[in-house]
Amino acid sequence: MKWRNVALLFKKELKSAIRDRRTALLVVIFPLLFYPLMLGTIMHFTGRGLQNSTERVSSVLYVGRKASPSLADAFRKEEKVGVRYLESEREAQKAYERGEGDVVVLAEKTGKDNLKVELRYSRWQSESELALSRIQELLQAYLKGRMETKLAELGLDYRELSPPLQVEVVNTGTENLQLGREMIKVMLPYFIVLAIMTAAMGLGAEITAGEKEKRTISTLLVSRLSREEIVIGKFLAVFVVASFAAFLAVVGLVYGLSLMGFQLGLGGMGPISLGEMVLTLLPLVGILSSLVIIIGSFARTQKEANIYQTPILMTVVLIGILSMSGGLEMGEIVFLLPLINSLEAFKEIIEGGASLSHLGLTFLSNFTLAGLSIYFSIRLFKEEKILFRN
Amino acid sequence: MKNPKAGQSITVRAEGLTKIFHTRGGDEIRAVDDLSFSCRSGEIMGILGPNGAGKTTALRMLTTILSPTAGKATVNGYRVGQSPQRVRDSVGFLATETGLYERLTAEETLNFFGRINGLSEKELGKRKKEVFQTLDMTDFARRKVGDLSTGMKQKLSLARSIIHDPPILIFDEPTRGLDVMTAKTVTDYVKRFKEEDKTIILSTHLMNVVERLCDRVGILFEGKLKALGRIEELLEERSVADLEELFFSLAEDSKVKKNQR
Repeated sequence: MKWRNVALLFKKELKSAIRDRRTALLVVIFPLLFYPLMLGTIMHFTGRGLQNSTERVSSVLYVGRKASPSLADAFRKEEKVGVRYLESEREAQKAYERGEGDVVVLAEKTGKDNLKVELRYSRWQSESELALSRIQELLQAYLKGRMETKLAELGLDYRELSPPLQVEVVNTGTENLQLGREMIKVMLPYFIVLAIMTAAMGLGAEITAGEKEKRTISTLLVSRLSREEIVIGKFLAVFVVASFAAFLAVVGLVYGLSLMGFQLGLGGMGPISLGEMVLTLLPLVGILSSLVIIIGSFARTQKEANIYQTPILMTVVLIGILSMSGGLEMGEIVFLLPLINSLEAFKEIIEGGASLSHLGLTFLSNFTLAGLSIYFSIRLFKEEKILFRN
Repeated sequence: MKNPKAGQSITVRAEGLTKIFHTRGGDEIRAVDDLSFSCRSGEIMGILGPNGAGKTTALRMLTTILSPTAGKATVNGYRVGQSPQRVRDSVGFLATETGLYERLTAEETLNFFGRINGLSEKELGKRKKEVFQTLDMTDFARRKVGDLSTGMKQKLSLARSIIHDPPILIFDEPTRGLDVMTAKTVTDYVKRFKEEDKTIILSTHLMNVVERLCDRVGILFEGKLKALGRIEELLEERSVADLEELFFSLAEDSKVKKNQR
């Protein structure tokens, strides 16, 4: 293989790509403007949603007012709780099912001074969960107050009897900063992968299946370029364009969101973190670039290539969602699985605690797969049955 | 007189060239079956045949795009399967259906094809000058291919195929789909290349192109060469008046043989 030949084809593909408006849109406009705007909008509305939920008054359906008038009164006095007293459990349950309350409180007297409180709520329903946590806080405060009163009646001081352990939880950041950092940790890798995919897909389909469709491929095949040189030249063009899109996505998302006034808390990220990002990203770009070359070599037309690329894009989206959900608990194995490993390693890098073994596994696994994919795309390109599929 | 220089060295030779494709169902399709012919420098050889006769497949084997299933071929003294790069160095390939890179200029197109065909910067500069003059392309050298007319594009396609000054030119349906004027431009240049002592093999299904241009013709039906020789000799052999009559008489033979099978 002559690298001079590879370079000639690479330069031609790059020149062609730069002059294409679609490339400009997918490689520059999307990562620099569209993705930051998209993520900014998501962050803005998530922030507003959080703010709204903290300001929201939780509606409580309360049964058993007579069981403890003081507790019932405590509910009434609570600012963020709107209480509605009902006579029976059945009545409360029906009202709850109609969506008239976030939580049902069933207070029942079980002894002279004993009270049993049952709380009914819906897990996964944010309003209900918020109401529950407020009620739990209220009940704790009520219990503490009752204890203090009772102990005082016995001539004892609650503070002296309470366990010698005091837990204080301090919020170290502003809500905005916490939200920004959490969102960027989860979504930045995902958007970067999307940027790589969209850039690679468009160009990859054009310079492979597009060459077949426009019948320019035969002029390349009747030149000094060997099939290996053609595949490597095309692969490198997609690789460079997709890497550039990834770089612009990082720039666009980090600086774009900062410009929009979001606090991302990425100040601690230095050159080492950036180097780790590059090592994590490049083999991934290699895998995705060779995948689009494989698909493009197999497809007869650009349209067909785009159709075949869709499942890959869908898989990327699915894996991205899985990674964002935080439910991927597979231990070290996760760093051997392509794509997921990059997303997870990226999260660690942003958090500032990337483990060397995780980064190493990610790099090795992706680098190996990228190499295999390139090898496979060369093999495929040499197959007449594939290249001239009819 | 059509071939004043005939008798010079053989530059292209095919012996029993065969290409078999397989359908998804596993059936064999003999796209080219036992094709043998030779062609000399300064000669224009026409390969005539209906659509699907195997013309393009035959030319693709000669240009190393496809590898033969059986038989052998030498181009400029190099075996197609053994020295594909040498073969490609010796060949200029053009098909009307072949596209161009729309976002490159005409000059950039020639630069690219010149370089990937092994020309140095210096050689390329010299050759570009010659080609631009020969094909009268100077006016649109800096224009993007996407903005060129069909005629200009065809000139550029020709220029691309000869930029490395190959001794052998292989043209697959070079006038297909072109208007009369553009087609004439192409055929005029083909004649010119012949005067430069190049070997030209062109496939077509247009009989008038063969009659006007070719020194010899090979007629293909269903992958098999049914006739090969000088047009006047073939007409005499078959006792027919013109190429069209010859073509239909061979087509009839082919049909009868197929039915007998």
